[in-house]
Amino acid sequence: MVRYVIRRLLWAVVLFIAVTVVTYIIFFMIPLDPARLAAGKSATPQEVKAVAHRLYLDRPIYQQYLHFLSQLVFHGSLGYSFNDRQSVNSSIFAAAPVTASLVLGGAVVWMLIAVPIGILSALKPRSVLDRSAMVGVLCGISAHPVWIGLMASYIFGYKLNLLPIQGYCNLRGGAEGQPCGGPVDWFTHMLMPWIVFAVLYAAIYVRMIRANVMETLNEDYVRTARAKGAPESIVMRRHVLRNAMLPVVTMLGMDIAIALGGAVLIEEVFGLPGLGDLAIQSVYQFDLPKIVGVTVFASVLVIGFNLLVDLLYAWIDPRIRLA
Amino acid sequence: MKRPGLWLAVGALTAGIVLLGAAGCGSSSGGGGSVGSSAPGGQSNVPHVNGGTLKVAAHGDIDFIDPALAYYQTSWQVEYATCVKLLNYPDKSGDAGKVLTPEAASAMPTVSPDGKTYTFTVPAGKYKFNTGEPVTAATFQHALERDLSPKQASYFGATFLTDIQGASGYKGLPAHVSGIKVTGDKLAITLTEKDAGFLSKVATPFACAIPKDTPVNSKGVQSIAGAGPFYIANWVQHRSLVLKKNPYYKGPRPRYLDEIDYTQLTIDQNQGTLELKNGQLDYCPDCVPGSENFQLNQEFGPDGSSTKQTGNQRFFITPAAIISYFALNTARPTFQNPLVRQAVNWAIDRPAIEKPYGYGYGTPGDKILPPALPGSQFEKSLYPVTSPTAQDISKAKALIKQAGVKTPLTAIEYSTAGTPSVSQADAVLTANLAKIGITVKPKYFTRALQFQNEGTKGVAMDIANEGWIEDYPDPYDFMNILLSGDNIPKTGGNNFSYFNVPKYNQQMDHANTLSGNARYQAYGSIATDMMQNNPPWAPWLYTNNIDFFGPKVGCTVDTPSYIMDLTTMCLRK
Repeated sequence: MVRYVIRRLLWAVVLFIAVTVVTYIIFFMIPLDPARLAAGKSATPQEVKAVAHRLYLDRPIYQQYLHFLSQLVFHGSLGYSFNDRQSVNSSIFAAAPVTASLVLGGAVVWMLIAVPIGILSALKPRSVLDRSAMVGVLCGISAHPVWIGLMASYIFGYKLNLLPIQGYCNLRGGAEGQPCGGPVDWFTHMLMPWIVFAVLYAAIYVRMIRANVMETLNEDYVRTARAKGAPESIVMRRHVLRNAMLPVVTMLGMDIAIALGGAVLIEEVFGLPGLGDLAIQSVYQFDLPKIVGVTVFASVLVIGFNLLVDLLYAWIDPRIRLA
Repeated sequence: MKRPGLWLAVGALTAGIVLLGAAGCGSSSGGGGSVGSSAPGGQSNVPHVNGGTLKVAAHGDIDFIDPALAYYQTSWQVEYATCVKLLNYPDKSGDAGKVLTPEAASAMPTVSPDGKTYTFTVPAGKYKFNTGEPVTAATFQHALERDLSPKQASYFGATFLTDIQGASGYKGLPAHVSGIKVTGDKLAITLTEKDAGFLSKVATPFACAIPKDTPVNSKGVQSIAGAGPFYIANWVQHRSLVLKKNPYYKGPRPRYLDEIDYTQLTIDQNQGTLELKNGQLDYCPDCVPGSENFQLNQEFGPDGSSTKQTGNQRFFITPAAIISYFALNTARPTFQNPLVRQAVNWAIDRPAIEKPYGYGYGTPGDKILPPALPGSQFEKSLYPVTSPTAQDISKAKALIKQAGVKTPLTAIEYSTAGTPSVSQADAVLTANLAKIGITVKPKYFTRALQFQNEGTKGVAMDIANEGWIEDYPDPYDFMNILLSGDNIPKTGGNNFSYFNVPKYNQQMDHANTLSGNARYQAYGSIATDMMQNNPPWAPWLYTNNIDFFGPKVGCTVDTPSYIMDLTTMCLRK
């Protein structure tokens, strides 16, 4: 188990370096001068040169990359934005809780929808519930999240005035000037984004859980458990669900990690100042430190979550440890 | 035979059709097309409450609250409410809003006989920051020297102030710039050469009064006192901003509100418009997507259905000093001949090019100086601003023939990728110029890359699809920057026509030494002469500012330089 963990950790480091190198290369392949952008439309060539020097852009690319890596490793710093000159760390740490609120809350919602519906559909295949669930799945997968989000905020926010149209409220209370803050405001502002975010994933997970449960129900050990007289609830809990949910756990970890990198569309529709919004703004502004910062952060999350899922998997299923 | 699956499928299909129908309902957008202007400058003098909090959001962002660094339009709009400057533009719309008047200075400055030294008298304590600190001549010395300090890295500010004696080579605070001297309440600024446009530059927010202990900080200060009608009480970058009434403000500018809260920045435009409609927001300077202009104007414009009922116009379309133009590269064979460039101006269909941008986007035009800019009144309109007639096309063809060039000519156009309206407009241009024997080949780039490529000398480009927003309301900011042959560096230039005619260079330099009406007349004449005989561009549009307010807002005034004036806004009774 220890060797397994060490091996995974080393691969995580290699992956991390690969992602940052590729991001740098892609950025510098675009023939655009960020110093020119930062210096403004009326700047003279001398002024642009001075800006390039200040932003470290007049060094060779490999030197810029090594400088970035040394700042990250030895100082934990992702650098400073070309555009607003603020620490990228602070921008990301301000945005991350917003995305975490969206993704983790959305994950709870989608699992609350997907698990019972998936199990019930598997237990009663081709019933009205099952078929209705599959129609719902089809709609959830087909409808674009942006369209769902805009329709939801138009109907429930604007027309019916039941929920806020958009915006984010801090969980721990709002800053001065913020119209809202605190747990209740946070919840009411996040409810629609959670549901919209969850729709697509819930649809996918209903199908997956349904298929897994149906497959597991036909296993020998389930038939044996029933033959031994075990109550159906024990059969479901100890034998069916534990095995059927293993792939779901894997998928859940990966989906959460990927979504944490920036649930861009939902954040844009509902005005949530999260990592997705940060990523979009930094690409529009051609702000290398922020682009790299968001990429690094997202990569760390994906790699970290994958590692966690692999370790969890190994703990749940002893066969994997021994393999 | 029982087919339950079939009924479910029919049910799903029906549900889908209903949902599609629901999506199609709601506001419909009208067609594109020019509009007449709405009530100019908003409306004031409505029954209002004194006090209250205005809830604002912005689709854009506030880049900095540090006057040395702030450059976004939204930031400057805020600074117009919080700053005191030596000179400022009055809280008025139209031409009255373009006249510089003394603010912290007791009068317009005295100018030395050589035109290089401006002396302001700044009575101490006439204005005070919200901390109680008085504004003095030394306050402005500090502000300007901070802008010029290399460590402040005020790229934009330094560009406007480089003509001050001693600016070049200045090492930074606490040393002084030799060309900025304070004696008692007198502030004397000496330039390296005569520049009558200097007063416009010193009226930009870069020269805003700041407390004397404001440190040099290249990252920008996160909080700053203000001496204007309001001050910035709180700023959470990219999230929110709060303006509060400056308790020490005793100046003449209007002020009805207690507080202005920017509750959200980078808001989605569609969502912002919904919140404005139902009153959850009071104002959002850039919230309206183009597709909503027609419907909103029908309902809330000067003759809107809601306006007629309530008497409250909430939707405004106001000309801005923003120009869209096709720069014609005079350094390459296709447009080297002025007659060919004249032909282009006769042949393009300006209203048709504007149409893809949607209702109310702008006003077609053929002048270099936008109507909102001083000096524009002295430039003549020479080419068709409506769709060209058969006669106009014949004239264009005759000019091509007179030029003696071999057609078809090929013109590579650089344009912006990712915007359907731009490519549709380019398609119109292509069709227009095909009629006179010019084949346009558009090439698309991201905006930043387009700008960079066009500004690189020797670029293989014949037409640049470009635009320009004023930094300050003076013709220098358009003509000298964009059309002077002295402004063609190897890279990073703004003169995309590579227009370099010594006669015009000298005329523009001379016009820059004039002030008042003589200045504007001179620039207007130069622009007319250029467009008549040697047009560097085919201007086609002046963009409008679009503003939409919540139901409670009144007393709105649209200023030429800072769009809607926050200080005049009030909440209706």
